Amino acid sequence: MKQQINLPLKNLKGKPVRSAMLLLLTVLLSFVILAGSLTVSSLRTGLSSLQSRLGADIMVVPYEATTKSSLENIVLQGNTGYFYMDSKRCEKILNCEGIGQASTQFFLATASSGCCSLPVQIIGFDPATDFTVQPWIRRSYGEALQKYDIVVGHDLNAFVGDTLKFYGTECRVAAKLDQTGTSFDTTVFTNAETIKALIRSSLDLNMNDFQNIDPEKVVSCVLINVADGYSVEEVMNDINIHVKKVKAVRTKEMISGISESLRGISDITGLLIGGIWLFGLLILFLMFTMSVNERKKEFAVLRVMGASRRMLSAVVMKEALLIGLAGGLTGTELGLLTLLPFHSLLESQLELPFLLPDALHIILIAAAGAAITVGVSALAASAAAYRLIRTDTALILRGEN
Amino acid sequence: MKKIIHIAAILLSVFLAAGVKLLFHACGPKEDGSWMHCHTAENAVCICGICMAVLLLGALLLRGRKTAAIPCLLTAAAAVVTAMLPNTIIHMCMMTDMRCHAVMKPAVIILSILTALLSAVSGILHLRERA
Repeated sequence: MKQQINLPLKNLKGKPVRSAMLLLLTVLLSFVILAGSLTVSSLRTGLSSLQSRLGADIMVVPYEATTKSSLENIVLQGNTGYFYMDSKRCEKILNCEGIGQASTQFFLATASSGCCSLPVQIIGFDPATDFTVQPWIRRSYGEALQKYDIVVGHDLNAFVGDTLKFYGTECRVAAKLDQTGTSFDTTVFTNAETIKALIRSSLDLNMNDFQNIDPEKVVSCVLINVADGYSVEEVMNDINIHVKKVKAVRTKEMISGISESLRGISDITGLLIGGIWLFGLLILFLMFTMSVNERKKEFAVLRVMGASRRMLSAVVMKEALLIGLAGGLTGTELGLLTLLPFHSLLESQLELPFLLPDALHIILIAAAGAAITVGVSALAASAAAYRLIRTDTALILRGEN
Repeated sequence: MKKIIHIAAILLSVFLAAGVKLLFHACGPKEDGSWMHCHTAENAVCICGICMAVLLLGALLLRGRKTAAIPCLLTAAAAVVTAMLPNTIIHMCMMTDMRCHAVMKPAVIILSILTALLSAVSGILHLRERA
């Protein structure tokens, strides 16, 4: 029994180059399946996170914001910027038919923050009417935000209790949000009172180019959920026809571009994984077949010594399983070591919403990757093992096969 | 085997010192030419990498079993501290999607932990060596 276990190990050790090549191939296969699946899964989680974070049917912005394409840049791409419209226009919007929930937001981009040269986007919301930001702020912070309290996105290197200075005004970090994988991770949220004070500070310091506005009389956008009995299309058209100099945008349309990019990336990744796996399966099959062919005499001698056909095929299968298991586990670990620490780099390179799935999901993907590698190795070896048990030992020893 | 592990640890600490300046460096200078906080972390990691390489090279020259183990174990401790330099000991940039967080920090942590493990193993092997 002990010999049965030791023999495959000894065989693998006896042919170090062949074993190393097989191991390298299985490492590559499991790495590819883990990295590909985890990337696609993270992109999908990021998109669904973005969809849930947008949280409104319609977004109404000043018309110039849509012509400068700054809207999608700010809301989806994480670029900083601001645009404002008169709050009188906001009142007209609210008078349109079919509006269920409506809340105003204010945008402000800081010149710099802390030690870094990069600006930070600040979004101010109205706590009395807000229905998009507060539901997920409440997951991290249950209390109402006081004046100069801010909530920072997950990717900002600030923590609860820290003080950040914007335009010379010190703000206290009241909470840090969970990761979303979207541009909201680098955004600062605060209430309308604080953002108006910050807009005023930026005007006092002459640091922004909107000189003629009164912070009390402007908003950046209005977020709307349509009332029951009305369609999003109806309400959107009504606003676009009846309120001048504004543009109502369907939030789902804003992320359609991202969805298409994501679908493209998923398809290409799927094709690449499929191609590499097909190629890998073929090479594994050839390598196991060649290995069994060149060891025919060795197996024939074992048969003469009393080993059954079943025992021999078990040796081949065990070798394949050992290689598959070692390669699967190594490849999975390498994949995790590459993707988990460097996911921020991948996110910034892809420029798409990217959110790693939860730990359980990652463990499942890793386990599936390793299991598939073991399974495929066993499948590739099974053909060689089948041929081995059908070969006549006497013919091999006589040199006729 | 002991020598291979020791040389691997030296190579890793040299790679850490050179890599943090050339390959996985922190954020570049600001428009006004000044540097951000992460540059301090980059310099500190580079200096630690050099110190670890010197310690491990010194251990190669020591023949006595216990004396050779001391620099190895010291390097292991220094490597753990090096892993904590980016952001834990030295505060880095504001946004965690910036280069210092996305590239330098994970690379330094991985390399430092590997150096710590190899140095510790090398130190233990030196301790277990017969005089």
